[in-house]
Amino acid sequence: MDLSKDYFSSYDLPIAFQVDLTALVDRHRQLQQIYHPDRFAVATDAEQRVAVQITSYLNQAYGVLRSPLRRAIYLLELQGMEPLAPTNTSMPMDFLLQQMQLRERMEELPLAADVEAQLDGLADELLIMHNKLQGEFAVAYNDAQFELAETVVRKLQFIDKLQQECNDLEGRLLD
Amino acid sequence: MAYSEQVIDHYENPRNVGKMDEADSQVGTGMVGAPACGDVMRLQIKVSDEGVIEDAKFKTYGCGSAIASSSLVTEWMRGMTLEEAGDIRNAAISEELALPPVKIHCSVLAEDAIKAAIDDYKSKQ
Repeated sequence: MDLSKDYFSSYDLPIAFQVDLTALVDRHRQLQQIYHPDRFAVATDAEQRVAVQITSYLNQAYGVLRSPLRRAIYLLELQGMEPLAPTNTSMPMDFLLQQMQLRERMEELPLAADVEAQLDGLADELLIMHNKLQGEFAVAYNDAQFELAETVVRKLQFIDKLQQECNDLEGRLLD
Repeated sequence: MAYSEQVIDHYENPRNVGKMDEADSQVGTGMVGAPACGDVMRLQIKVSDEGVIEDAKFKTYGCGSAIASSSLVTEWMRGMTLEEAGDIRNAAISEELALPPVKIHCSVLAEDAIKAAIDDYKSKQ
């Protein structure tokens, strides 16, 4: 297996944002079986090391390919871009305002009388935003508008983070 | 990763958390975000007629280092002229807070927030 190839090629997938998830899962299982370290129990040390390397490559690749956010970032990295460069802190002002409002809402949420309904509402809104941004990314990327795609990925990163924190909050409040 | 004592102090006792009236012509508001970690920071300054920063407030949603960086700069900026505040560099912030390399971007965020707040104030004059 050639570990210098891009993840899509290793999984026999076209380099695109839209991914056939069934094909991805099937191929991952198949590759995992072929290169499972247990199969190399009686192999030489060198062969065992290679099997471990490949398994680690596969886990990394699979993690990237099945996550819309990480996949989008990776596609731009293949274009030589660095969408999440820490030095760039300028985001559209209306987007940052919205982020602040969403954060404030989440901060006050535990005090609400109808916490569960509020949490569901917020989670639904974030999901809609996430899906909308995924759609925007797909269009920009397919049109080779990589600068625009980069802006969309940055927004997606913020929404993704909010989703994680919303999930964490739900775990803390409802368990 | 262990946070330094300075970071923990600002994180546990953040200085100058709050909000000022954005519509006030004496108030400059800077909002920035770090895509690398999804942190958002709002920094506000209130400037006297003499061009001195009388008050500074912040609200940061992010990690301990981002909160500490913004808390620290609000302390530093009080009493500074706009020019002095504009000269605050992220290196000074990360040095004061002993930030590890992976958290340097938090101090960059604070520096950019200062610049954004100053720009906003100037654009209102």
